[in-house]
Amino acid sequence: MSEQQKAQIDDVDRSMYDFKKSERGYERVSEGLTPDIVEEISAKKNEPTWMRDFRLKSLEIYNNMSVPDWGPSIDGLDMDHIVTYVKPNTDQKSDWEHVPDDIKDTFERLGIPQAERSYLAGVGAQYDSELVYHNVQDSVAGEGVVYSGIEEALHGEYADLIRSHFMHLVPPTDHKFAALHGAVWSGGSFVYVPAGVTLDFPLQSYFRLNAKGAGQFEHTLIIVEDDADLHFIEGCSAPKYNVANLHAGCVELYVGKRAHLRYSTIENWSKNMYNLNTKRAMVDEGGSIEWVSGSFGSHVSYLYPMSILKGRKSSCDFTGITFAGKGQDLDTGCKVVLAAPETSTSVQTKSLSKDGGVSTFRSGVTVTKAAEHANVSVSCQSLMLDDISRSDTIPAMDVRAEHVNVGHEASIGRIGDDMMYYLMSRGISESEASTMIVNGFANPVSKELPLEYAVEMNNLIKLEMEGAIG
Amino acid sequence: MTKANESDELLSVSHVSASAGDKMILHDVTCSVGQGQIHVLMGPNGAGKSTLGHVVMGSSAYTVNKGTIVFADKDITSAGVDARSRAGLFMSFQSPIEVPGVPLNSFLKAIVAQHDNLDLKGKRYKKRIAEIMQQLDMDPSYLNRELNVGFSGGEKKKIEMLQLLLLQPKLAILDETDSGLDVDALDVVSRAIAAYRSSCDGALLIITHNTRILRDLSIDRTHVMVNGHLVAEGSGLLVNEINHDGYGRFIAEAEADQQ
Amino acid sequence: MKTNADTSLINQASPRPAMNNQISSQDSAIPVPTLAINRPPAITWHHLAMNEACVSAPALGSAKDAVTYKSDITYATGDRALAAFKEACKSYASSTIETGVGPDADQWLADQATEYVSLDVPADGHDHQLDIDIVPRLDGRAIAATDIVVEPDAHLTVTIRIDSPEGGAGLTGSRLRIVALDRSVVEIQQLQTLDQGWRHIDALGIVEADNARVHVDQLVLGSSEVTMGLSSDVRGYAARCDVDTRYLGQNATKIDFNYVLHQRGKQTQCTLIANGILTGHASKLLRGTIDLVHGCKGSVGRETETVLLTSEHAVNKTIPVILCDEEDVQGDHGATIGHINPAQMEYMQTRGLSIDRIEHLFVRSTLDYARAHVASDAARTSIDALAKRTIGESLDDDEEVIR
Repeated sequence: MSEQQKAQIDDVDRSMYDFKKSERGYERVSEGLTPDIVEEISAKKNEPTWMRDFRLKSLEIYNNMSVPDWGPSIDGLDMDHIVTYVKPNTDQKSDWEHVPDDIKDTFERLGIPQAERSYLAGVGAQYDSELVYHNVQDSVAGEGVVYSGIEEALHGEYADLIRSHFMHLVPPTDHKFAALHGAVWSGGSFVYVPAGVTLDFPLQSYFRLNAKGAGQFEHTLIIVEDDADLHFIEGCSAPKYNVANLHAGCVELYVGKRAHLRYSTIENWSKNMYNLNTKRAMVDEGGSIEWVSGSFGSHVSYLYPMSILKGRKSSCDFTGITFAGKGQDLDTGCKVVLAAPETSTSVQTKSLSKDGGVSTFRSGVTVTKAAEHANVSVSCQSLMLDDISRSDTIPAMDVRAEHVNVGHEASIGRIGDDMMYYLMSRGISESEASTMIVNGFANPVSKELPLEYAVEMNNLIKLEMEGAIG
Repeated sequence: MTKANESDELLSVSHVSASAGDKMILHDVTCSVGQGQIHVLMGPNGAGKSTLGHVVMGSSAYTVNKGTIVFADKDITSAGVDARSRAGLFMSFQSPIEVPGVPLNSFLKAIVAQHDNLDLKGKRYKKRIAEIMQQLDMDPSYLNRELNVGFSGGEKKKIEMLQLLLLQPKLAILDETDSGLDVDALDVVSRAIAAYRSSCDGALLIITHNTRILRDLSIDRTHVMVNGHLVAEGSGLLVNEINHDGYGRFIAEAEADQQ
Repeated sequence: MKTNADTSLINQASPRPAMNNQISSQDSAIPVPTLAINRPPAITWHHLAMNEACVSAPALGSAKDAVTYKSDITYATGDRALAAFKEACKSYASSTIETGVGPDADQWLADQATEYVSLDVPADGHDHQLDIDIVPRLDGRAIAATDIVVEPDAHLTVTIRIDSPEGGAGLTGSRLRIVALDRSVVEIQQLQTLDQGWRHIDALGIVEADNARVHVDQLVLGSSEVTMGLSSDVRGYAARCDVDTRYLGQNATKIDFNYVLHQRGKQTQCTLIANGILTGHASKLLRGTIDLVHGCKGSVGRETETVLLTSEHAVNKTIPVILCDEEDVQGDHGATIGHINPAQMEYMQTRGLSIDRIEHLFVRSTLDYARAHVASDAARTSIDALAKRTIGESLDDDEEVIR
């Protein structure tokens, strides 16, 4: 690691994410959830009728569904007081210079424009309910790659494509918060990578929720055509408030034949956030989806990216880490449906619990009758960092094909005394040693992240670990 | 010893080339073993000796790209592994596979039932097993343990030899490690070979250069393999020569040929 | 110690006369009542249909003389026995003894029991034995409810044989609750070889005090619908509970397990090992929960499962849960589900077995293993009969090997 990066680790502090900006001049719909509010959002966006009807139908579904009874409590989330739409006083720009100063400052502090200059092929930035910035490199656009706000795409030449894909993978009937999303979704990105195009650099969308007591419901739709290759990065953060905020985004990914999509997320919502996010990918013959997922923030998370392997020889790799600290109840994991012959899945997750945090690994692997010669390997490891925290592992497997090989292993434990003893016998302090071990534990995940994100993740771990042990 | 004539020929490997994945391992290998004969296959580590054994047995780890294998007057080049066994071919594994959930006794009964040459039902089966176990100095309690699971190397070797003696194949390929076999295990192999020869006079292809195993055997032919090529063939005396002088001359010749 | 514990013990155990509360099963207008059963401590997505099972709970007539007990110590039956059990465990069991099937199903089994026995096993230097045979000869229900206190330092082996004649139909059940006190050693060996017309519900509740050791060994080989609940409250210091289940699912058999090991005491050890084979249209669901409760420092819980599927119609569901609310503990789980691995397959093929024969060998091996494993002639006879019925083979070496 270079000197510069080392310095970055030392410099980091909590205020990196925890700063608030004024909301003066912003449009805000009323608190709560009614057909009027939904119609108001739709009208503001000047949407096609089908979308308005879709929203109203979703609201109806939402009202008829019950909250899940199997996960962390969301009693603290009072939908009557969540503001579902907050529009900053700007339109979407493609030049940072035109973005209002306080918003620009926010993204500067989060390092987004710098990252764009150094290693990204395109960037989208959402502030509360609307995109404030979207830009893609000319060379990439020249190859026919589309990276734009999904709302603008709804009016352009891809309108039909969006209509035929929007909430088809994640229908509003999927669960209550998918229905909520269908009703009040706003913002988010649309990516289209034409057949055979490989992007050498990632695209990144960053979601910032600044408004107090608000919800963010961005929709990400990515279509990677046959033989194409994309790495997409998603980042998110928010300042901490003493009232509940809600994030119920939705990500739909379509991966074509022999195509490859890597979807990386570092989620660092503030600890008053209810993160009820839904992500789903469908993979065609020979294609592959790779998920890299780091969950550090939020008060409560329900997050299980799902992969549907519908084409022969398609595959899914899931690498995830979850770190639950004080006041956090993070229920994370993944779902995979292997629905074609010779499909394969590899899941590797790590979770850590500390300071009374609750971390739950939850998975569902379904091997349908069609998935002959499928291969599944799931490995989840959990580390307990003290005796007031909790870590549960709830993996479900449903195997219905004959010639398959499904392997599953899970372990829960703590940092071994022998390991600590060994490191300390070489002169390393207790807190350093434990940070070292935890970083080593997280390493299989962090090495999958782009360098800048790996550094960020290590910083987060270091922050979480500071003063934790000793 | 008499050289095998056409009608006595049991195994005939003709111009076989074989690969594992993209890697060619055997190159145009030709050799044959006659009824009741003892052959030895020698060569430096990694020469492809075990591969030849596995190719004859039909292992799916290898692809035969060229050539034919005839066993007992039948072309078995594309026959299934189990069919080859039923035809009278046997191969002992260097590291026998562990099969949890299957007691040794259940396994032995099942394989006996698949071999038409055997008439070992009910009490006769029990008697024969007891006899062999005694010959090999095996504890009868092995029968209730799971196949190869948790057995030591020497014990696994005994289980392989037990199957050899039980099945009485026409040809047994014994694939022995070049190093690391302990004295007891060697002794088991020697005893098993003697018992096998006396019970059915079956042929042997022994992959080894261990003099202890070969000491009391009258060897009909010796084959030398280098880099996947059979480079020399000779009488049993060749074993002694190699054990005395090493493979230097064969390797040099092979390199000269390739240039 | 809370007193409500006593009440719950009484309520749950009370055996009723055989024919009470009858609904005529001939009357098609009245739907057969059903029981929600086997709900684990932690549930997950409902669409996976793994959170509980549902079994029909018809009111069947009692099959006469189907349950027999045999022991070297005197046991008691009826209400007095229940009172004695309540008295004996009053000072040890501070709460309801869970049996894994859930309170409703547990109560139902208690209500429907055709025999009730309670046993107090003394520590007198002898290894005591209790044999429970649940072997109906006529159609109907045969349910044994048994409560046992194993006194400190006492040793007990319980065998439970559940068997039926060929043909016939009905429901068998076993509800066994065991309080294993300090340093006691309990071995439970259960064999189930029912024919296809029979269903079985099993509820096993265990409470373990300091240094107690309980080993549960189950062979689940027959029946068309098997529902097995097990809950062990390992609350004593250094107590140990090991559960070893082997099952064989053939035809359209449905097997549903809910096994929960609560590790509450310090330095406890629990293992749950499940090995099974599913052929034909058989389906199985195993919920296995290792619950490392706050305070169980130094405890180790392990769960391993191996499932062999030899049919494209077989269904295997598994949910191996580890709940961990303590730091200085170790919880592990490993599962292997699928077909015979290629290396094993090829090894066996080199000895002349075709793929079909190898698949059959695994089924046969389960029966061979069971036969070599059981202690009594009666148990061997039950296994032999099952083998003849289901695979048409004799397991006896002295008989002809059938191809």
